Amino acid sequence: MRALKALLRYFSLRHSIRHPLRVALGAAAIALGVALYVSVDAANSTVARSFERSMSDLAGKAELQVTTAGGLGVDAAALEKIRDLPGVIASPIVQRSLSLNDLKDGSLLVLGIDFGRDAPIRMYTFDTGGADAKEFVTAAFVPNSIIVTKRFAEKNGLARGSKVRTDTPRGRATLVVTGLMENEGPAKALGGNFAVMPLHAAQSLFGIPRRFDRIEVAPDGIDVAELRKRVKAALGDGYDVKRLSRKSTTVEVALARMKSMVVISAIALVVGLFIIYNSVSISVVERTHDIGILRSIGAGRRSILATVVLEWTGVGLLGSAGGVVAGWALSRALVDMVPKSANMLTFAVKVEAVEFSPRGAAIAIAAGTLAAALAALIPGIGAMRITPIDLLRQGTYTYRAAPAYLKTFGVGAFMIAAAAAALYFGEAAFHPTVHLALTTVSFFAIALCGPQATIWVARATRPLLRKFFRIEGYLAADNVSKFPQRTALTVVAFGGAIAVMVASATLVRSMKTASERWMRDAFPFDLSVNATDLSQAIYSTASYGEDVLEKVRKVEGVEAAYGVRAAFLPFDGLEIMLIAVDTDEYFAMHRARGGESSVRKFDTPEFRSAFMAGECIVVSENFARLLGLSPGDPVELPTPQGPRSFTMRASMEDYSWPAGSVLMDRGAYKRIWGDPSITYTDIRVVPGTSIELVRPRVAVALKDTSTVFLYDVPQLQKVGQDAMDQALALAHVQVVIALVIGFLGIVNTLLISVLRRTREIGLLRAVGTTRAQIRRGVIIESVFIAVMGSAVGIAAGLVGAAWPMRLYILRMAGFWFPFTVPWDSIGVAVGAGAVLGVIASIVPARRAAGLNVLDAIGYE
Amino acid sequence: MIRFDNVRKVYPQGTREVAALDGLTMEVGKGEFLAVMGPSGSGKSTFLHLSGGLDLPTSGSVSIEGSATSTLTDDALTLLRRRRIGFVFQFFNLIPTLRVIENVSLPLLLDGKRQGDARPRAEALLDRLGLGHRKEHFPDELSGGEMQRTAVARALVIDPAIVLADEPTGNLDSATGRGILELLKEVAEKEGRTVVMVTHDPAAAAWGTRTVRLRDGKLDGGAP
Repeated sequence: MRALKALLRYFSLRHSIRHPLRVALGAAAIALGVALYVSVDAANSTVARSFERSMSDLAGKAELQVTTAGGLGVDAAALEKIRDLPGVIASPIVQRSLSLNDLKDGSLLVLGIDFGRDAPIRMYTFDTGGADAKEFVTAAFVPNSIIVTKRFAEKNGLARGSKVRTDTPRGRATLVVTGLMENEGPAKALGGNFAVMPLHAAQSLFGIPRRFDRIEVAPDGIDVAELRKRVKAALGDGYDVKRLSRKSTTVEVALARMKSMVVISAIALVVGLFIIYNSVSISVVERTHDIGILRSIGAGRRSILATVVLEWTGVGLLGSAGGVVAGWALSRALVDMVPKSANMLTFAVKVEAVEFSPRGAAIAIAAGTLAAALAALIPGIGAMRITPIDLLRQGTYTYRAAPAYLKTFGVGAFMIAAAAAALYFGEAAFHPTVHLALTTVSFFAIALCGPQATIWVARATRPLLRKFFRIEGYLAADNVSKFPQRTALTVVAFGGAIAVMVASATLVRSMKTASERWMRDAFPFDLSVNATDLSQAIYSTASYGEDVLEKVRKVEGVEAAYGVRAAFLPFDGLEIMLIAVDTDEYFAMHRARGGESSVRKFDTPEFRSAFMAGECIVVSENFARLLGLSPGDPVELPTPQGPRSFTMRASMEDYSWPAGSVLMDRGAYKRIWGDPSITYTDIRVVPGTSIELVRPRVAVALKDTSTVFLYDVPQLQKVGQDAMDQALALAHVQVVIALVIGFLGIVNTLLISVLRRTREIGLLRAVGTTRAQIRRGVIIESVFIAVMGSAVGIAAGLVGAAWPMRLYILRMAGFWFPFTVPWDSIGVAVGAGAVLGVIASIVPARRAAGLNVLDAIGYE
Repeated sequence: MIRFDNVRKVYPQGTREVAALDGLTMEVGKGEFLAVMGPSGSGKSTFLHLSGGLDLPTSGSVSIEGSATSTLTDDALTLLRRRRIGFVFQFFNLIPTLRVIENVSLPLLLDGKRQGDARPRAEALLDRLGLGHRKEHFPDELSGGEMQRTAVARALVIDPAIVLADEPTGNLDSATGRGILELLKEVAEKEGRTVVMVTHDPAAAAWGTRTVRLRDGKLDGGAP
């Protein structure tokens, strides 16, 4: 132990101090991988916990919720059945997200409550202004009143008596702030963007008289199992009694996108591993002499191995610790991004501060340190094998791993073929994790093929380089082929970065191309009248009454209009989107628009008749894929009357909802669900009439009815595009980090290359090579590595990374995006590779050109 | 102390093999100061490497203090070098990143001694060799003689039974070289250690109590 301590102190530490740049490059590579992981993990757990906390604050003591299977709430009869049960506290709830457009931060979750029933479940602390609680409640719980949190009031400059405007299915309404809540209990949820109002007022305001969204149930001296038993027994069939949901499909989807970044952080760590491997290899070569001395004076082989591995484990630990700090900073940016992405879907998350995840940090530090230790192991074994005799035959020893490059090429090629075959034939059978594992195996397999491939490419291009770049080109190619292993590792590391870039671009392009085509296909109208500001939330189910549709139809210049009700239904543990349309007008509009619309494939009079009768539905392709449905199969949907079977008649391309969507006739929906409200109305203008002429007419016609938001098709396409860009913004962060790591890899290799060739460069200078020629040689070598890396990266990115990631999306959301090769991005990748190659060579080229001839010749 | 029995050592050289030692049989006694001479390629260095357990014979047997090196594990050979054998090289082979005192105390630290025990021993030895004022310097701040005296100090710090010196004066001027030879002689005569010195220089060899000559891997003139 003391011997090891002495070696670490005198052998490792001194060397590291003398080569800070190399140590820093290794540490930085590990730090980036760790930072990426930590930031994703921290942002992920922060958002998830914030959501859970909000849910928990909101839930209070409630353990169960009662709903009807139809997803449209419960009636008063249910409350009658359970409200007097012993040991049961039941509180009916109406819940809505409101957008108070006149306010600065006007997103608000409103609970309509019966205060007397709800008080035992949620602990409200009202600012009574000196009045006793009973007086306060009597005064505050009046029609059109709303009680907001003090925090919300402060943010928006509200006080008792302030009036706020909102839009409801019944039109525009004005609410009066009749009271304030202290920021405690449920008022802490969602950063204080929370309000309560009297139950009957909420029912009236939101157009659901005598109904509730759910009944929340808390135990009173009994356990939850008993509570559930009693409630279920009292309610009978037709009701769902389940644990209060603390999860949300929408939040899960937003988090899943972010979790995919963990894959990239793993790739980043692998690249970091290569960089450290290179650094350790060269540090071993440099210290051959010292290792020989140590061995001759009695240092054991195992002590040498332990020293080298521990030295770089220390660097890994240092880099990992730095990565945790950097990841912490990066997580702040991600945390800003994810709730926005989640809240585009549903208003549920309000993050105040990033939460530190000690577990995530510990995993990241362990992974970073382990990667460094693994990277140091093979060169460490090389160091262990140095005999004192190698020292005594100075200058003859050079460290090389097994020089059987052809053999390793064969092994690598076999591994690639096996992984490719497994990916191709086992596509359906394998879990996405297996696909990712196979991709990683392919990545290592490419690394195995690398050295021999490098030799071949260098030899093949040597005449060309000689022709164009004369002696400098020849020397660069010669150098590359002399140290194929080192070059190959860098090529693979840089290729990994480019692969991430290309894979990401391929996915983005495939998704964009498909969704753009879908949007062109799916929007047969000219103008859409929405109940929601789509820049705030694209999946809001806010609605208005049917009178809006009637008024729109009468507007001059409107040829046809159909109403759409979008609602979410619980289905198999997820929420699916139900889209109900006015069948005749909807299909007529598609026919009038013409073109190759996927809707027209199943549009027959017989189909429309069955569709309007509520017998059949159409499902999105992803829904059909996720459930393995074919036309003719029954689909059981929950309805207020209990589960009801519909026949799936066809599937259509629809990328609007990851868990899948169902299209049905709005008349049928209205009959079955008893919900006449409309989420949006789509308008086709009279041919030849300007949309810009009709738009203000619609606005004027509806000005006294409801606040609506009008969008033409390009605007809707932009909303969709922006939402997608928002979701894919993370992909850009991944690309930048991957490129930085790849860049560090090239700088590291070139610095090592220059160091290894110090004597050779000195000799070249001594026989008349100019500084400029030396400099150019290094630059050519760098660009050579970068271009080879780009080639490997493009191939690996298109095949090795994009393919499994695409399958991952298929498994997650059922979306099967047609493959689109992003040629322009590939061009950018090649250009970026070359430019990065040149930039990476600046410092090493300067160092090489600046060497003193005599010092260089004397260098050992 | 060191015994060679019909030792043959063959090295590959390109496609052929070269015998550096070819059936060498000889013995080095305790407290002896043996000078080994011979032209380049005669097998001097190989003789020294085998004597120190740095290398193993292709055939025959090399025994150090009664143990045949071929029968020892690498760990046992390492321990033997660490505790019983001190090396002095022509090019000093000091670790450039370590100060003089650190270079000298390193073998003790490798043997698990505490810093507090190793340092005074190294300091005492450096004082004895006239390097007390240089102990905090780095090797590149020393003269050739000082570097070689540091190397001798490093060899002696473990209190070895055998000191092996490979051309210890080859890189020094004659006055400085003489100082090193005096030191080696003193080590053998007064301290009873076995010293084996390889040299080209007949004047240096004359300091030894016995001189052998090697030619083509054999003793020049038969058995000594």
